Amino acid sequence: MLGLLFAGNMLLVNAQPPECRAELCWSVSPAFCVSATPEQSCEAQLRVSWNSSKVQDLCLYFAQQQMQCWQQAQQGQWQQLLSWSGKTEVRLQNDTQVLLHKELIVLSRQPEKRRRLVAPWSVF
Amino acid sequence: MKSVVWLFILCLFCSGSALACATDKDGCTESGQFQLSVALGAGQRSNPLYDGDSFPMLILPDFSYYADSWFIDNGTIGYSLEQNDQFAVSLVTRLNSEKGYFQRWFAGNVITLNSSGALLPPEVETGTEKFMSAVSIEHVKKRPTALDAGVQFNWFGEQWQSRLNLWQDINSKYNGQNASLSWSRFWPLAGGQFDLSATLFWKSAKLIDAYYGVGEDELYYLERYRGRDSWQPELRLGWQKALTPSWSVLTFYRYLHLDDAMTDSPLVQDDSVQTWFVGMSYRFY
Repeated sequence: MLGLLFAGNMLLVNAQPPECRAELCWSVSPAFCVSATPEQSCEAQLRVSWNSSKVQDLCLYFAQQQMQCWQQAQQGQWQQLLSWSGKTEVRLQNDTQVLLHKELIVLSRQPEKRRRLVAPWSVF
Repeated sequence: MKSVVWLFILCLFCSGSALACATDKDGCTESGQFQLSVALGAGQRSNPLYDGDSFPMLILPDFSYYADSWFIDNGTIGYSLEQNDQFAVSLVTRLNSEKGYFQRWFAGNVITLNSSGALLPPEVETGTEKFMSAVSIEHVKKRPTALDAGVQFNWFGEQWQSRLNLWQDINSKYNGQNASLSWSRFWPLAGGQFDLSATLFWKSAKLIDAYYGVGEDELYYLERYRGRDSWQPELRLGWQKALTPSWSVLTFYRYLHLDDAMTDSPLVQDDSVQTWFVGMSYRFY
């Protein structure tokens, strides 16, 4: 089930179903948010929880920043108020490889605009 | 070798596209939304060729459709490889506009260079080497419909923008190139927006030869001309004022100067092409 949450001008989509890879499952919320304008960033309490059938050493990264590490754990939870814009990646990895990753997406209620590249009224 | 250099330049920008117009300002258009405006008024584009008709402009369309990367805008179809707030690079194609001077709007007009209505001009005398020095477009063969393709670079500032176009004939009609570099500046004026644009066009000798040259395969009494590279500066002044969200006043004037490479052609009568329009535009979409 998806949960909708309004925060200021943003619509947050929470409570994503858990995603698993081999013995590791996690959920990340909100997975995406809808902002009023394309240039507006998302500010939200980002929550990550994971569990594994075996003990592992794992670290959580938000974009390129390491946020939290767990040693010899079978589960973990983390949350923090963060701001992001555009596509931003969250990933869970051990020393050698990325085990799970997810893109946080900011959508906009306002249609995207492009610059016109050709002069107006230039047919003739 | 040329193709490799082109490929290299293009690949420098192959990193995908980004949102290029974050705010709602002039010169921005909604992605995925067809835009159509039509202006009604008075105007014309002059024709520098002997017997060439001026092009009347009573109805003027302005249309565009921009997807995330693809676009069609007033006859140019393009694909943007990169776009951001300051810069865009796109692959583009369009019909070459040079043939437009050779179109006649009234089919009843036939060879009428001299007032006497005779087929041959007075200077052609039997047994002499004299040629007809002013050549009507009616005397020469049909000019080709060429398709150009190339690359377009756009630069954007707060109140200005610049554009560089490099074109190649891709359906082998004139086997040449043309290019243009333009710079535009915008000012608020009298409740509307005034714009000034300066453009420099370069047209290769092969292009000039294909359209304005007179070769050995033309009629024997016409003066011969072999095209050379042409540099053509243009100045444009415009003013537009929105009266309602749909209605605007639209005016502009363009002056294109034709250099010797053009005016030395016996087909060319004037050393400029002037275009003007005054009217009201209505935005449908």
